Amino acid sequence: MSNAISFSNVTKTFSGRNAVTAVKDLSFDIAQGDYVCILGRTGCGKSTTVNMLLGIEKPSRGTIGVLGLDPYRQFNDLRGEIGCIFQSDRLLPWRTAIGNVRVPLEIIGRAEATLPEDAKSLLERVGLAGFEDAYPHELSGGMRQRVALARALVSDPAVLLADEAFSHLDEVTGARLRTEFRELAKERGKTVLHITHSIDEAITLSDRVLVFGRPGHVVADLRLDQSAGSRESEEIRNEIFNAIEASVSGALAA
Amino acid sequence: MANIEVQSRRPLAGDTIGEHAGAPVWTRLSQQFGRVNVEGTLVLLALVLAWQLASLYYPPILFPSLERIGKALVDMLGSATAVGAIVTTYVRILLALAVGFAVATAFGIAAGMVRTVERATIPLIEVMQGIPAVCWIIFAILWFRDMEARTAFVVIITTIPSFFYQARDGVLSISGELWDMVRSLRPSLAKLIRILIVPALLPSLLTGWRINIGNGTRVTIMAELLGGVSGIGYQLRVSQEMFRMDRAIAWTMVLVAFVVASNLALSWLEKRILGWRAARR
Ligand SMILES: Nc1ncnc2c1ncn2[C@@H]1O[C@H](COP(=O)(O)OP(=O)(O)O)[C@@H](O)[C@H]1O
Ligand SMILES: [Mg+2]
Repeated sequence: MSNAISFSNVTKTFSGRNAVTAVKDLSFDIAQGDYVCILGRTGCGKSTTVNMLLGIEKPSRGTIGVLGLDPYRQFNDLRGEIGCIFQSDRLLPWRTAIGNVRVPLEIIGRAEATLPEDAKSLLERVGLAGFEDAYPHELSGGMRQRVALARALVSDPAVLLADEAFSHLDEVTGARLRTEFRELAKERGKTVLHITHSIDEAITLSDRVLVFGRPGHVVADLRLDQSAGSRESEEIRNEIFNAIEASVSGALAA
Repeated sequence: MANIEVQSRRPLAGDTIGEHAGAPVWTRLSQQFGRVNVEGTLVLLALVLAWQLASLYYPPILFPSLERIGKALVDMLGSATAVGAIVTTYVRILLALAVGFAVATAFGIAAGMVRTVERATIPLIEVMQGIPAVCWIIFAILWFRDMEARTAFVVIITTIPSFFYQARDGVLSISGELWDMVRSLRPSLAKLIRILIVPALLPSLLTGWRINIGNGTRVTIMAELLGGVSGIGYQLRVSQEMFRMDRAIAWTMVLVAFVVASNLALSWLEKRILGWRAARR
């Protein structure tokens, strides 16, 4: 299988009064159809990695590939190929739920009829049937994040990104949404890069976990077996925990 | 509007929320009349009454009676020249405002998006803003022989700064999160403007119109008054030269009515297209 996402020796330094290196010599590949979680402490360059994938930040050095294309230089060629859910819903307040879901379609200029699932059936799929015409301020936080989920899926992208997308919701809502997200992605054969700071979330969801150190680089790369028992999970958990702890022991642990 | 104020003040006065016990009688009246601002109306009525009283003791050149003003207004609205003057003035104002709006908004959006454009335009806009409207009127009278060109120039040039700032500040106040979300979908510039920038800007643009309908009216009247041969401003000058206070008042009423009517129209528009905002408050 070919790689859906590849980072090779990517470094990102933000210039400014005091330059910050957010990502340093980052290399990893993600196979098509894999569900990969990136774990790491706050400030270790996870969001910067996402932004480079989205093409809204330019890497200082190294190369990034999404479906074999450079997300920054080949900006237009990847239109509609990456769906992203952010920590906050980022819905446009002046658009209804369905209007928000249609934003990506308006941007890529694709007629809904040519899609496997239109905006309405996607809203239904995420449990929002009947709320098509509701404005974001009329929905709860969990419902808004569901709209964002439908928006990420609507252009039928090959790659899905989630940046701490379920961490600010209450535990029950967050847990339900993340399970549904995994189902939706798996059903459709999406490649997923899911950023989280919750070890439990990573273990429940992913086929593979990348642990990031600061500044952003891979310190541990673990394969998970979703059918494994609780004892194996416990071992993995400890392994991840130790990797995260080791990644900051040299630096100032924040 | 008065209701909102009254309600926000009430808890401070120690009243029970939801009841009007202890509230002054006019507040209770205003609650009863719903959205009518009773206090404000009473003040205006008192002023009108005082005027009518004054008209009993002073000559009509200073304080014409209400009947006289009413008659002047009726005469005016029945005469072709007067109605022509009204139409002329407002077509002038609205056309010039539309041009000023288009130019200033385009530059304002560009300035909000591109730092270089902002740095290039801001000093110019500040100088424009610093020059008083009367100075522009004098320049216009010296530069242009054509009456229409004069007023158009003055309205455009004096309304550009506020239209510009409304657009630029509107763009700058769009949250970085929404920018990144829309940009991550890889839109063309045209779609970025259509999907994100224009809708986010609508409230500020409407505010710009609110400010500038008043401004545009003022400077157009001044321009017509100082160098015009037609329009309401010119008619005001004629009234003054003929010592017809009643007519001057009648013309003023037309001017006030226009600004009030356009504000009502803007409010109506605001309710329609910014419904999502009103409901959030
Ligand atoms: N636009 C930016 N300009 C300057 N520094 C930034 C910018 N974005 C992120 N950083 C810095 O880069 C580092 C990594 O940030 P981020 O990628 O957001 O981390 P994470 O998502 O893992 O918490 C932080 O030190 C942060 O302050
Ligand atoms: Mg982050």
